[in-house]
Amino acid sequence: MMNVVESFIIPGLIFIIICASLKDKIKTFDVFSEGVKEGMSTVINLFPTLLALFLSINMLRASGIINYLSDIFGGILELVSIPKELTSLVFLKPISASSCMAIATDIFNQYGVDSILGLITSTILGATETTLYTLAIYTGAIKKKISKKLLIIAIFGNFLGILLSSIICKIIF
Amino acid sequence: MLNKIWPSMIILSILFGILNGRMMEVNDAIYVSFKDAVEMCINFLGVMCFWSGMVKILKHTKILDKFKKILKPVVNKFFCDETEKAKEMITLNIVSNIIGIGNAATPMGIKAMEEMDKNNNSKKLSSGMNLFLLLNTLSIQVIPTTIISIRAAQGSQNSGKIILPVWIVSIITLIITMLIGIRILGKEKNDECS
Repeated sequence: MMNVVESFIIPGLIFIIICASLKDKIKTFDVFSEGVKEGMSTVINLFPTLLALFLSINMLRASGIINYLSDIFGGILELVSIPKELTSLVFLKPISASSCMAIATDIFNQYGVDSILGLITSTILGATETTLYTLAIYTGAIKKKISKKLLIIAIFGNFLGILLSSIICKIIF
Repeated sequence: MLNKIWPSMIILSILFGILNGRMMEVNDAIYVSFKDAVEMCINFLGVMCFWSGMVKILKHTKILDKFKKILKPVVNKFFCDETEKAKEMITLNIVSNIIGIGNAATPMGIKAMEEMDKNNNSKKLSSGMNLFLLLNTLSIQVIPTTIISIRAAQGSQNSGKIILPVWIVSIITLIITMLIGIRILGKEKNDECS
């Protein structure tokens, strides 16, 4: 059901935009092409950030440091009511959406998608963003530095989301 | 920020790789990254260009004005001294985030940052840019479609069950984090806006 609804969103949007452009008598094709050109230069500016990030994230995962951190911090997270099984998710959530998907699938397979762990994991994925990645990508195309303050608040927000997901799921389910 | 984080991540992974005896994996990861980055870039090129084109059309139509009217109170409150162009992109980014087309929100967000940057002469991010970034690190999606689909694919009995907790968590996190953000990052801004 969800997939059917979802499949209408993008085509529907395109339909509305194109119809509106016809109604307002715009040279739709020319304007579209112009926009595409602008998009290309943005992606070229972004490539260094992408390459650098993928390199560091992949290396970090391969080194096994995430598992090591999970062992150390699992107990601490448990104290603030975040299940220790989710430790690697806590560390990877701010930096990599695809790794989190992999971890989530792991948790679903191991504990069940409708278990409390599965539900908390789902809520975390639905209610938080890939904070550091977002910051890097959004500032990648312009040459400005992100301040420490912003970084700390953003990571705090991410952690707050994870913490609340654990607490609220335990209350509701 | 990345000037410190990035080198530390690389050094940590190599040192840890040596200690853990996982240098083979680390070495492989380097080559996989090149492939990943290029693949991502090519995928992103399509999405980014497509939505840039669509947005360009949208900008010429009257639909954008309607969105702008709805979101005007929010955008004007936080981004009052940005240019009209930047406000348009901010509006579109927020709208696509809310309706959950994340792959459109990112191109628009990047464009919004570029527009705001034109209006910013200092070397640092302006407070408007900071708040905009912070907003984008928080989830404001109404229906978490991706995770619901994944749950359904994994054989969940009730894949939509998590909507309620997702809403509660998103809203509380959004309010608390933005309040802190406005307090710390947007001080000068609030004086000018009121």
